[in-house]
Amino acid sequence: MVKFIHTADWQLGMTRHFLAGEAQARFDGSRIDVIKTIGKLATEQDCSFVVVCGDVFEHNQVSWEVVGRALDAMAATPQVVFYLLAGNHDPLDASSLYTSGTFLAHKPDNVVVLDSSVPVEVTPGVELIAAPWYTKRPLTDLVAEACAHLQPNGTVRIAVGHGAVDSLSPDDANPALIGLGPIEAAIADERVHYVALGDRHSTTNAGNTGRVWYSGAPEPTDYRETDPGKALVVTLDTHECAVEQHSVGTWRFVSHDQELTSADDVDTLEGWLNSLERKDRTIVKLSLVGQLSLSQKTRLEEMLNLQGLVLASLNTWERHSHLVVKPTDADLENLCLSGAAQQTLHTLMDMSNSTGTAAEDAQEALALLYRLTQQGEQR
Amino acid sequence: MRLHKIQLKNYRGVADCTVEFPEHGVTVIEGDNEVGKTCIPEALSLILNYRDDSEHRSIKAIKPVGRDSSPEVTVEFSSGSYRLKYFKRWHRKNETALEVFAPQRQQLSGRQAHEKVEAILDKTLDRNLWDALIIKQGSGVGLPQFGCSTLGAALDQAAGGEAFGGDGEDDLWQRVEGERAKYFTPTGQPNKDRKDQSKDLAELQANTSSLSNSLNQIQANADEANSLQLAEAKLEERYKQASQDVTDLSERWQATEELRNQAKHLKSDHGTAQAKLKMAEDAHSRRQELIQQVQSHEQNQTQLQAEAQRSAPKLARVMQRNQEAKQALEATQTSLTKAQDALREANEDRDYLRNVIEYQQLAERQNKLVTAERTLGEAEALLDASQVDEEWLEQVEQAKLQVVSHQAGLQASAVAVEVTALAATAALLDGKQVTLASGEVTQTDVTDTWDFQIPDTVHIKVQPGNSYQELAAAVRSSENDYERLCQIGEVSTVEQARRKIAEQQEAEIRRKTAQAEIKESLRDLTPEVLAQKAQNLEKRVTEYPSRRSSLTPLPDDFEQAKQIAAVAEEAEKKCRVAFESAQASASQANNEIIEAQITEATDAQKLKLAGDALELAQQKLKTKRASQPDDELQAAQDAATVNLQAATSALQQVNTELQALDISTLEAKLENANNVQAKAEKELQTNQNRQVELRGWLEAQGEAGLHSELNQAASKLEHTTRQQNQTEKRARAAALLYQVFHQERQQARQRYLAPFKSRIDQLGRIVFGPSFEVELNEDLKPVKRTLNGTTLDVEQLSVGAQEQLSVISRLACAAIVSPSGGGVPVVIDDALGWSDPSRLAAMGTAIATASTQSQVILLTCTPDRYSHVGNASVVRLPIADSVSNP
Repeated sequence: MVKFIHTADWQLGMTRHFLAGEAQARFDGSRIDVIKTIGKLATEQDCSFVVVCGDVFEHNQVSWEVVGRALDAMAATPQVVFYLLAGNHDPLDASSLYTSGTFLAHKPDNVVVLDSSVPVEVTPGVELIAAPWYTKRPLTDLVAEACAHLQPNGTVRIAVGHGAVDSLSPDDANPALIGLGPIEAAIADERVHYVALGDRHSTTNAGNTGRVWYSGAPEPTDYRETDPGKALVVTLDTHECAVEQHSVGTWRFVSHDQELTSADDVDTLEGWLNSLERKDRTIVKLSLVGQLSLSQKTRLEEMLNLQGLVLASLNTWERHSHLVVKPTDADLENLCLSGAAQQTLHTLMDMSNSTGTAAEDAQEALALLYRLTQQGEQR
Repeated sequence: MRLHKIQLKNYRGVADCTVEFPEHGVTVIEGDNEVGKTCIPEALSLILNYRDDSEHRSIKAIKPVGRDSSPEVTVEFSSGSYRLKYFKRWHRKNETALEVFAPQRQQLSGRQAHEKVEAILDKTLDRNLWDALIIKQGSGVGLPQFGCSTLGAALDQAAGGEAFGGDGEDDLWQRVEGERAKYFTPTGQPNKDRKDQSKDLAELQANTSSLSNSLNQIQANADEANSLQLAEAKLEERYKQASQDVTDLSERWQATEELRNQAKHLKSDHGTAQAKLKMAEDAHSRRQELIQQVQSHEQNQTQLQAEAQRSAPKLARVMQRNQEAKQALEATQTSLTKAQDALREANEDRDYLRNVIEYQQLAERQNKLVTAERTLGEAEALLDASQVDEEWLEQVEQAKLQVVSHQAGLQASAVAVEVTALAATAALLDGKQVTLASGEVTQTDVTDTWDFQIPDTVHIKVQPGNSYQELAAAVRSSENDYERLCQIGEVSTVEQARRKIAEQQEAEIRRKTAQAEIKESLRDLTPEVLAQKAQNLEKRVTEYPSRRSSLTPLPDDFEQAKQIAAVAEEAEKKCRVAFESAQASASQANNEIIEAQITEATDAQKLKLAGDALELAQQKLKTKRASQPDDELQAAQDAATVNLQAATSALQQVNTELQALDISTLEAKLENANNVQAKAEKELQTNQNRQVELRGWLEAQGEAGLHSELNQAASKLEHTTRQQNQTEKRARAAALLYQVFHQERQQARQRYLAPFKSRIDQLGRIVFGPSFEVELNEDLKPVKRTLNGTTLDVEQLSVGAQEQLSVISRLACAAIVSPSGGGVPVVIDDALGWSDPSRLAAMGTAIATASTQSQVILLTCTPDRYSHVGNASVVRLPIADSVSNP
């Protein structure tokens, strides 16, 4: 019986462009910290080793600060060996960081790069069969190739691969798709006992054997991921396989749709934003549609500005948002304008009823007029 | 505000003065200088603005000097709904008292009274308007700023009550301008912040693009390295295959080489066998030849012997014929010699006789030549000695004629003196004693002085006249010329001269004749050659007779000699023909005999040689046969033939084998395999070098962490882009708001300004004429005046016109403001001093027109200045220290 941690897609060095300033630094820091969390989890769970199934780094040309911090984080638990597989982001090509002198010079002893399909004995009677990526565009099913010549011999074999399995990918034309059928056949023949996969950032049990898993990314990286932030603790022998999901991630990517047509809706949105936990590690993307009055729009903007200061990131998804500003009678009453100012208000209202950029500009100008008038009153 | 009454006491120079004002219309306050006209507006200002205990310098300024009294001001006025009476005394016993009559009666004093009035005025009086409508004495002709709310409100009301937004709108406008200024320069260009943002964005885009390109290059190089790695394996395989091919083909080539060596040896053997066979064949052939030679020599000898026997009688016949020919030749030769001698002698005779003739001719020519040369020499000597010619002769003759002519003239003009001695008389003639016989007549032509003296009796002296002297001189001159010319020709007379010229002419003829003769004698010869020729001929002619040996006499003459020579020549020709014929016969006979002798000798020699050759051949054959008999030679030839056949067969077999191997193809294959191997090796080397290069480059690039850099740059770009989008969105909103608001304000202002402008235009036309029009700025200040189509800035107008416009604009303002109850009096202290009488008259009309609904107070020290204001109430202030009421 062997117990190990299955993780993947650390993609260290990844930058989320919507994170401003120190938020990106915190995001980077958390993604290094999660390595230490995994190391600790391995120790706590008496795991023999950690296998990282590809895309350890975002790119072969990440800065050496990233590589150095990652190696340092792995070195924090020296008793836990980290087996690293090269994926499509960090293939073992001529520009590979795994073969660079600096990496080799700084690599701690508990870090092993799986650079070929030659079986690696991780503990007595347990072998890793790795299918590393040598290029960004492989032309074959690397896992199938790695397992092609195996024969059952009583050794517990863990295939370590990276890429989409054919049953989960819509891209039939991709020659590098991992065939689920051959994998399951190898499992059935006991040539392989567990297939640890990377590439999919959501934790996924692929197929029906319970022995083919995507661990998902330990920290989320995108709004589209359904169950990220996990590491899998796998207990395995030739007869049994138990996979436990452990939450290790601390960040959240949240996208939220809301229709805004009244002050109450703005309040509701504010309530929802207030309800978010760990705001400093929550990245929110809003899709807002509807129609607001000048005062409501002003309030919404003020509220979002405040929330933006608290959350790691708060952005409005422009492509999916359509918020129209229509001054109401109450707005006009509030504004208490007369003379030329009042004429200006009416002209802008007329313009805002048109379409396109002109209307948007007019709405913005109305909001500005509202704001400037309010400022005057506050004085 | 409406003033009703004002009373000043102890105020500056005014002891006590009260002035009452009608509610509408014009009040003209007249007074001399220093009677306190200007005190009225000042007192109004002080009572409304300063407390009774104020220490302000304006209050200090009105403190009476040298008098124990305090300045007091009492003013009764209405403002808004209030009507009140207000009293203040400053300095000593200072006091404030207020009595409000409306809307509610109220009496206050002290500070309460002051504050109450301030409150009322704050509520009801537009202080800016108050300031604007007062023209203080000496304040110049400046145009007022009408930016006051009362006028604004009035204009707003006039414009429909909606056009003017009041101070709130101005504040809002300032905020709108401020918002726009965040994004734009005053001229509407993007401001520095936005430009910087755009610049930053462009730099970030460039940086991102550059980093992205660098990463793409890394990826391209990595891909290339991977491709090279894959290709390297294939190249190694190809190289290995090529090397194997080279090895295989080399082995086959080696086997072929051995076979070729074998063939080479066999070929050599074959050659040897061929050579041996040839040698055997040659030996056999030579033996046969030798045998044939012996046979041939034997036949030849037999044949020669037969021929020698046949040619022996022919020689004797030839010898006989030769003898006969010799004899005939000798006979003809003798005849020929005789004929030749005869011919030579005849020719010599003929030549001799011809020489004689020629010699005689030459001697004659020589004699002629000598004579002619002598004649020529004499003639030339004579001609050379002479210096004169015919022209000279003519000159001599002319000179002689001149002498004769002049002498004749002289003679004719000479004084003829004739002395006739009447008795014998001794006399002195030209100093000589002469004796004249009686009757003797002495005639003389006096050419010089003629002196005749009879001593003691008479002395006669005759001298020719001047013309005679001249004629004598001419005679002398012509005689001199004549003599000079004669001397040239060495003659004394004309006759001698003529003879000399005749001699000369003859000599010339002789010379020419001699020259012609010399030429004729010489012809084409020189005298020396002629002499030499004559000499030679003379010698030959002299010698020939003695040399001639013949007994025959010489021919008589040349012609005869010629005939004899011709006959001798004919005889000699005949003898020569006969001789030559005999010579030919003799030669032919001789040739025949030589030929016969040669043939005989040749035959003998041939026979001998044939015998020798036969003997030699027989000896040689014998020797050879002794050395190797004929049958042995045949056997050796047969053996060599068999040997060659065997060698040929072996060679053919090896060659067939070699042909089957297709050496050229094998060689081509081997060469190609070597080339393929070298090419593969080179490609492999290139591949490996490139891989090393790429990997080194990639490793160095990996250290740079370009992806992280790109990510950071891309993040920054995205943030900056988002910020810029936001900024631009806000800028567009600010610009749009500014633009629309500005437009609306402009339109509102146009509506708002219209009544004010219209009122000024109306009053101005009264003063300046019907084409008058004014342009106001945003602060309602007149800035341009148009008159008769010409528009000028107000500053360009005359002082008088500016002052008039200044008064008119105040009147217009008051006229607009007053009906709504918010007006203040127009106070004009000592203005229009620069106006001409006609303008003053017009201004009077304008003031009267404007003041129907407003209160106008005019202060002047010149009573007539406002005499044209028809509805004016005039208040005449008393002189100082006197109090009077209107």
